[in-house]
Amino acid sequence: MNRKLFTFIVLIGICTYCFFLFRETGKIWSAEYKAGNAVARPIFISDTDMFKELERPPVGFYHDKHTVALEKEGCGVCHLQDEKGRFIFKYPKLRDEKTRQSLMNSYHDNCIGCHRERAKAGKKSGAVTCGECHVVKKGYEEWLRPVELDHYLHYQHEKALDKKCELCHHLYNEEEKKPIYKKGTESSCRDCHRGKEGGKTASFRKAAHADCINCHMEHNREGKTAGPSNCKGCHVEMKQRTISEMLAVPRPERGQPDKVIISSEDARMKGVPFDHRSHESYTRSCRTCHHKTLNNCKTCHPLKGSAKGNKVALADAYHRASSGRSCVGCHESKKSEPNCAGCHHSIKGALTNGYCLVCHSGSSREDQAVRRLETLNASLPEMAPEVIDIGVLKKKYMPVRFPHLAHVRKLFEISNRNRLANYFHADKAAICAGCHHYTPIEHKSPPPFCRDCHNVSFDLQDLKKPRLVAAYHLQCINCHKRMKLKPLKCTDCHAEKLMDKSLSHKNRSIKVR
Amino acid sequence: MDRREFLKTIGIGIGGVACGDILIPSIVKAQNAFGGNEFFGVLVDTTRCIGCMRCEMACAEAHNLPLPDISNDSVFEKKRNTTETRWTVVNRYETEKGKIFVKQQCMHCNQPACVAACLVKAMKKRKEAHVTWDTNCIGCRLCMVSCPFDMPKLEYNSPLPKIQKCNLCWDRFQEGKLPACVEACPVEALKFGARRDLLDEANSRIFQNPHNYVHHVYGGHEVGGTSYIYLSAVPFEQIGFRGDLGTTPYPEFTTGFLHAVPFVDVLWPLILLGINRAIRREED
Repeated sequence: MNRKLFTFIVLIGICTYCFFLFRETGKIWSAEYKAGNAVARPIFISDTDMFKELERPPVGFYHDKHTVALEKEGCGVCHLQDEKGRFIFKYPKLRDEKTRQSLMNSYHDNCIGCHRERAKAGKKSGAVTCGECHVVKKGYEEWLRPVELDHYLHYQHEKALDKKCELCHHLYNEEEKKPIYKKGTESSCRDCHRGKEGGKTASFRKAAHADCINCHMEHNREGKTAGPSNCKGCHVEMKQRTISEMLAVPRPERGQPDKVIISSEDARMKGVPFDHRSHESYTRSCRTCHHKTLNNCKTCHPLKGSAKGNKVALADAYHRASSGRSCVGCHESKKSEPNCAGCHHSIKGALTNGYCLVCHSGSSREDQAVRRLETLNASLPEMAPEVIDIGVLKKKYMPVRFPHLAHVRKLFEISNRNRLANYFHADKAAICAGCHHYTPIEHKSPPPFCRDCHNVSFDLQDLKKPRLVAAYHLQCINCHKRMKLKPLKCTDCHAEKLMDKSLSHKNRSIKVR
Repeated sequence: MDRREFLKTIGIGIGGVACGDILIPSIVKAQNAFGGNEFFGVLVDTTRCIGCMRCEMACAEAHNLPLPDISNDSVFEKKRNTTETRWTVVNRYETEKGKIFVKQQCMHCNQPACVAACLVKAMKKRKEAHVTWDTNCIGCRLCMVSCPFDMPKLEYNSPLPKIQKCNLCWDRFQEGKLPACVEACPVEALKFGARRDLLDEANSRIFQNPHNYVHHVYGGHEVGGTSYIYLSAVPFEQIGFRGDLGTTPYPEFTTGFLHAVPFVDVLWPLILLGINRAIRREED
């Protein structure tokens, strides 16, 4: 008995000891870091260009953790400095990329060497054995969001730097081998700093990190307000503005035109008047439409295409529906917005007469736009009834009172509010076609009834066409669903009708939802 | 045959042909139009279903089953299964594309495992696609074990239990009516027609709205094809369908063995007899 009790007490003792031990060690390793940083996720070092196939799992490197731990020592512990004191964000310091082995050695020497030294000096240190760094990390997700310098961020920089464009934008003089600045030639960084590593020009990643972080750190040292200089500051915590939030931001100035007529010699169609200024406010940055270069479209996409523009011809560059950069592609994508999707989900883009001429008018659009709005504001079609009673299911329900005119008014209002819609819905028939599909709507004759095409009974031979009840339900429900209107219950449209119990064939009442 | 009788026969014949057109129900006519040997089926478009449960109500009414309370939304909170008194159920699934309602019932396989498994031939595959059962069911539940969709249900509460399940409204079909659920569906999420046409229609819906559907028609090839075929906006595993069924018809798994049985039955005694004879002669 005594022996059993003794064993029990010893066991409890061991358990308590382990509990406190692990709890305390946990604190030692993570306390400092947790306090300062909300995001604790690794950057994966794999250098697959050099290493090709990896022998061990890639190293998950906690950059921000190191930044906090080495705050006193500064970036110089790991990164080289040039003569001006600017950091070259390259790791390891003396990176030897001659062979696979040498690159591996330079990583190992730097990381493990530093860890060993610090451990000897009695400071907090990191891993020294293989398995401590080369760990398989499961559930890895991309947490570093690419930073987009949108109009808003660009304007913030403009303001802070007193419109000194030359601080960031530059050209490169091959003879003197130094960056020069020429007003009016500003372009996107990626124009020269392409993504490739190890080329003659610095890769975009290198260039951006070197310039942004060094400048931010300089400003910090001088006591000015400056942007972040750690990973998560730009890649995680930076709030991406929506386009509507950026409406008040002044446009970047680079001598771009306000209004142009897009045309080309030898083109078959008339030119398209294009309001460059107003389109700027619908885009996140210049790169939304222009690629890396801020060139005119024609430069790379001539009428017949060129190798420079990936053999995309001019017409295709403007009209390709699958591209987010082309006019048509961007306009098409607008159709899936809630206000538009109600009608546009069912209308499959058939080209009508005069469709091309909406854009290809050849003349300035200022007076046209006004005329179009007037047409829409004009009185509604006289024959449009106020309310329509739909009694297809009147055996079970009261007839549905469909407020026809209210729907028409709402659609006109939505269309009038949207500038893009103003151009394409110039004819009011376009709006009616949202529901009255496949029927040409003449201005003076009422459209055919739904029942003229949609059978009351189920037609086995014609599987495409829904029968009348389904046609109504699909049309109403789908439109309301796509326009994100409140979910409809049956009783929102169908008033309840109390069933006569004797009518029910099993003499049981049917509960109507 | 005298002249009067001849005219009478002709007259009846012509009259019969004239009346026949009126008497023959439309579905039977359609069936003839489809060549008469085509499977029928139902296309379920889960993107259209609004979860009104009218199909459950119509099914119960058509087959004299206890009526469900379809005004109650809370039934969707738990995934339901079909029962012996509820041959079709609608379930709700929360997916990344919102709530999706899925009607479930017997799939009416082209080559049903239950029919192959039935000992007394109570389960039958009709040549029009319906998988029906007769009253000579002995309640052995082999069909329940064999069904990949777990659809046949036994009347456990009955002293003489029999199998119950959706029969694709076989009675109504013979009267020339649509299946009750198809007729009741207010949004035509259910379409009845020749299976071949339904497959075409399903594929054309996917082709015309490639972003709205996953590019797969469930039941097109699963277990050798089923008469109920499904369209969905999300992968079928997310809305309660099994993705591991393969395309081999279930009866085929047993045909090899079953066909071997008669040979074994016949050959084995012969071989034994032969050996016996051979040995005996030596002894003699």
